[in-house]
Amino acid sequence: MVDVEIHTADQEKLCQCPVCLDLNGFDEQYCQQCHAHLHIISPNSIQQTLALLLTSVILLIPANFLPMMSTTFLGEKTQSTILGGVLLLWQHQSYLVATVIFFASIVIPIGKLLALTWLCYEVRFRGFRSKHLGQKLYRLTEFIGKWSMIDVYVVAILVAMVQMGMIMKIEPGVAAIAFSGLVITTMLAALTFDPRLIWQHCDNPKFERERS
Amino acid sequence: MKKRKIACHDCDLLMLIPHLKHRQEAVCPRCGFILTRFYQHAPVKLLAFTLTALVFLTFSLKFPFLIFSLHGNEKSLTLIESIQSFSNINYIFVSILLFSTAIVIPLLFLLSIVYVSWSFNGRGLLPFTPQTLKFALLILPWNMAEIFLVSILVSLIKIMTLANVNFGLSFFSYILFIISLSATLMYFDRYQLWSTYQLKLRKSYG
Repeated sequence: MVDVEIHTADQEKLCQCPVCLDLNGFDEQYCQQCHAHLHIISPNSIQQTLALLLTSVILLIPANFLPMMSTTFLGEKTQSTILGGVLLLWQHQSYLVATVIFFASIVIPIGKLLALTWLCYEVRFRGFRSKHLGQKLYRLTEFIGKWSMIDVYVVAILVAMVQMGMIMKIEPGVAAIAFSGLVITTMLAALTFDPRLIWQHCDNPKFERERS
Repeated sequence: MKKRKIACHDCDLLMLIPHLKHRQEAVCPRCGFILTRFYQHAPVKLLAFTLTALVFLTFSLKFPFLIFSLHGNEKSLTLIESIQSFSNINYIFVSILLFSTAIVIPLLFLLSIVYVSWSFNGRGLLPFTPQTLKFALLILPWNMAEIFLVSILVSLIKIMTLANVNFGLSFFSYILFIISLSATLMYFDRYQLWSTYQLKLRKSYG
């Protein structure tokens, strides 16, 4: 068993380094061991997360409405957006790939934005009544976020493979840039969110544990 | 080893990590965060898998990755070429992103582990050991090698109807690289590595 003290580092006026896990005093700005930037728990830190979330919402629009890739087959050019590509795959009866791409490039980014917004809202206004749910949701967003890069990679591989001169050619669309920007900003948003905020207003850790 | 007091990374609860046996893990009692996992001979296993992953990664760069044929035209593609093709058509940003997340970041991560392990095995610590370890931890969330592998499979299915696609030597090498990388990540433990660092530091100061 782990020995638990009924205190958090914050209550003991200590701040844990996010990189090397060393405990530092409140007056230190940089970790004594690895010189990483330290930050104490503060609800204001969600402003950074919110700013990044706003950026990703803006990027979500070009990423979904502009063409992701254009295919030239025997001189005929067709452009397809993300959703268009998924529908096309569904029509061609490759259901598995259609589902994978649908989840990776539509469900995950939007779900992630909603989840992080909900977490920020709870931190700011409600002080988290369902802490375990919040924690689970945060871990899920952190883990699943980078899988939305699949579609950009797929386009890149197709572009590289299919350069058959006059017969067939695949080119990336503007949405590829917007979409990779979207993935980066949502990943940064998840990284800047401080999970300690979820547990901030919980005075007795043991009590919290028994109740759940 | 002295019991080290740490706070939970996710919920900030203070606790002492006890001595762990082989395959035991310490879990935060409040939020369920896995604080550390202990494996016997973890440093040796970590180095072994890191070197394996490095070897497979270099192999997968050199040889054809996929061989693609359509109407008698045959084209083989290496990993580097697939990323270069993006930069040809003014998509530098995406190309840099893909190149770094699929190859450069895993490579740098593995090289940092080699350096840190080397430093821990010697009598004294090599210069820049904490910085290297910190660097490895900072770039770790941006490693997307496994996603690249899944994307290859997806694009293969997409293109199967159009042309014949065969796997090259590099493809299998990349799969083995992903497997070794996951094994490396299993033995890569933030808490254990920094504890070793502190132990070494104390020893070298006498």
